[in-house]
Amino acid sequence: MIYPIKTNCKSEEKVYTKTGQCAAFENRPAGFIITDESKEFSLVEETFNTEIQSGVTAAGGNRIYPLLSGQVTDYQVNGGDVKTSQEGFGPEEPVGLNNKSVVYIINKGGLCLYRELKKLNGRTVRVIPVDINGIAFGTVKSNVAGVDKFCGFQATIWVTRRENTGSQQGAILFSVYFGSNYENEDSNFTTLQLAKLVEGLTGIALKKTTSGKAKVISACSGDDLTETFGADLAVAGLYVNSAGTAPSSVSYNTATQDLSFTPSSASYKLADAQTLTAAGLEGVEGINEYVNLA
Amino acid sequence: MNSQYTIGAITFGFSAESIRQRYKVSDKEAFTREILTDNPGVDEKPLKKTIDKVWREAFPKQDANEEEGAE
Repeated sequence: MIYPIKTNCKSEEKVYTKTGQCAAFENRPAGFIITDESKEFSLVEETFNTEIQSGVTAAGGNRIYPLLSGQVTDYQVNGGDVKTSQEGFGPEEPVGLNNKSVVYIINKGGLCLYRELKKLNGRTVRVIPVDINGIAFGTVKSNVAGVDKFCGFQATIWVTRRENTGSQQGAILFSVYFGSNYENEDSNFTTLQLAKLVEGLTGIALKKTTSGKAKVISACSGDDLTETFGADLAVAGLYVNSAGTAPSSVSYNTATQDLSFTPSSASYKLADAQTLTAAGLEGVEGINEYVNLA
Repeated sequence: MNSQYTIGAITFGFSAESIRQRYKVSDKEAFTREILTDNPGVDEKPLKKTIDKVWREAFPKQDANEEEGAE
């Protein structure tokens, strides 16, 4: 059984090294959750899990970006002090001048995931590493009201890719450069158990077939999702034209597996994740692109 | 309000608010023709019944007044 390691931010200065056996230590990485720099969560596990679930579809800075579906296969830790092997010189003892950085190796998701993750390049965020037991690692910080909150480690993201060299498989290299406050954040680290798998969203879009008719596809891979969602797509409020108005009618034909829009000569896009989730279409969000069906 | 109706192989979703924005209460026939054009093969009789319901949702007061006036 896994027990959360309590934060040591309120512990004494003495070091007690003859501790009992603690089962919780970072297991193999399952991945991570990216949040806005200002995003904080409850330290109460049940509330934390509710906030995580609602964060997947939340708007603006409250949106979270999980990558926990087995895409991450490994990660390498870098950083720390200047090493002699890197620079030709180095300190005799640890001085902690450099911040820690880790590189997650992502073998699944291909160029579609790469393109999505690259949007984070250079952005300062918070990273919540998660291991294969669903333990989320973060830090405790007091907010302006003096209430202790759980949040990820502050970091800057840079995403690049490793080409398939012939002898080595291609991969996304997700570099996380922890901030200058990492030492304090790590001293205050804590864990919370994720109650269930959290998955990110798939961007979806309309694809015109003939005049006034369309299918729903995955925006990057182009996979046809029309039949998957079926009649659930026949809800006018799930679409909006460039003037911000829903179509008067949308129909789904099970025989032809496509959607018909009235008025047919307009440009439409699918709604945001919250609207789609409320209609039973979970895990997807319409990308911000109008498709002309005329 | 978003209502959904199934006629044969076709499931329709209507937006009463969008209908109110685009049509007048007297445009029911024009709307029906437009739906028939956009959905060839749909059975006209049940579609007209469905649109009667949709129209009452979209124009509850006006539709009632119009019917009273007709009597």
